[in-house]
Amino acid sequence: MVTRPIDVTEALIANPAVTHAAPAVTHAAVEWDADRAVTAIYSEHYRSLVRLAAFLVRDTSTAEEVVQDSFVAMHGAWRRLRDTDKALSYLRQSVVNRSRSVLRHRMVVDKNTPKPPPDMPSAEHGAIIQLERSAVVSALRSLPDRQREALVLRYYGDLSEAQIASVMGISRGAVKSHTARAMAALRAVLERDS
Amino acid sequence: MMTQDRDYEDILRRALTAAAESIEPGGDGLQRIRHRLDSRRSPRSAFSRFAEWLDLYGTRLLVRLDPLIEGARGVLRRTGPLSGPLLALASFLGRLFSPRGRRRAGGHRGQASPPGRLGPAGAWLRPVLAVSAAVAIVVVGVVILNHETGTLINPTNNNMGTTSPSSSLSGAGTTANSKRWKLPLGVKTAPAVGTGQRNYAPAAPALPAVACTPTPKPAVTTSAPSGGATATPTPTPSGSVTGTPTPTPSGSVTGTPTPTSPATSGTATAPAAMVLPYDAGDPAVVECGASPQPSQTP
Repeated sequence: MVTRPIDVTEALIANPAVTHAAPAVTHAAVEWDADRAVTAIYSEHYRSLVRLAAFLVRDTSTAEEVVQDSFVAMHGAWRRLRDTDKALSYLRQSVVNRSRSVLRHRMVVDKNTPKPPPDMPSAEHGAIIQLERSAVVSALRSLPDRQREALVLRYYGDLSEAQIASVMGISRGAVKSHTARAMAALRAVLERDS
Repeated sequence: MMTQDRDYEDILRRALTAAAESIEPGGDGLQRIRHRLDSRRSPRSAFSRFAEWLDLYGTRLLVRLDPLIEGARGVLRRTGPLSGPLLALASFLGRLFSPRGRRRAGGHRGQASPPGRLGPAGAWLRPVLAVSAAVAIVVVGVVILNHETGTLINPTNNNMGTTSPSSSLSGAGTTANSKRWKLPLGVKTAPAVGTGQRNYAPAAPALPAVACTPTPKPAVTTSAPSGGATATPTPTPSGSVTGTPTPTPSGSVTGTPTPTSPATSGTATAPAAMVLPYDAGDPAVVECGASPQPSQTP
């Protein structure tokens, strides 16, 4: 005899005590899951996310803060995500968005700051200098923000065009356009310098 | 051309990988994330998060509103007496929220912020003060502009002879007359005739509206009053009847109260109020005393 599978609704109707205990149990389970997910994703992807953010914000300590903020946000949004792949995508998108916010904030601050003397190194000079070891990275720095994001996600993060479009919040055509323009500008800079 | 592109792509990929290898994040990242999660769960952090949110979005809003604020300053300079304090307030707001001032007080994110001029509470007090000052400036500016253009909002500037649609002959509505004229207890000024009864003869003389209080005489029936515009108390056992005289086409007031409104059909339970069928002129009210004269009651 084949027994019909009982779905969740029928099980809850058959055992109504479960419905009363469900919210507290679910909340605790979600919290526990979120903590575990943070730990798991941290051990696998924290370093690469910090490096990705460092390319975008050009500062390692700020990149760490950006990634940590993103992990905290992911923990809060775990009830919606509940999946490691989705969480990783959420983290990348959060890192890119927060990096944009940092750059915007920095731009406003720099606009209103008196210029330091030319021989005086800026505060983030020490953090930036390690990123500028190669001419390519320094040329990358001169690109506009969106083009730099597209290149870093494409050639460092190894994301597809669709993934880049999702992370940057733009269309695939725009991703292609940003990437092509960025490559052309990069090539022009490198050929001029060489 | 394609091979050259691929060469550049490979160069870029290798360069990015090599540069990324040199970036090594600190080892206490997970502890810091957990610390943030723990502090986020505490109730105190809700306020600090709100303050951070207000700080961030208030700054963003004010940066975007910067041209508007400049325009408002220009308008305020032309307005005159209030411009001095408002300009001072606007400049204080600008200093409070300028990134230079913020850098002096706190610096960029992640750095320890020494207490500024507002003390340790400045982190949340500054955005609250700035947003409230911005709201005050906008409100005062709107009032000044309204005053300048002559469209000052006047709550008593409505038509005295018309009532709001909600006020019917049942006497629930109060007009401006009731605020201007002191009436004895129980006497109410009648609401002026409604919108459906406003096509009266314009040549009708201005007669006062009469509002009377019914005497609590039971079993007195109402009859049509004869005569001119006199008060007609309409005592009924259940209360009072408000008669609304219907105007004649000639414009003369006959004083025959024929309830036309659906609200007064039958035995109305409205407060006793007799309104003359026009609302021209001064909304004078003639008091007929606390109780109607016996001669007036048929």
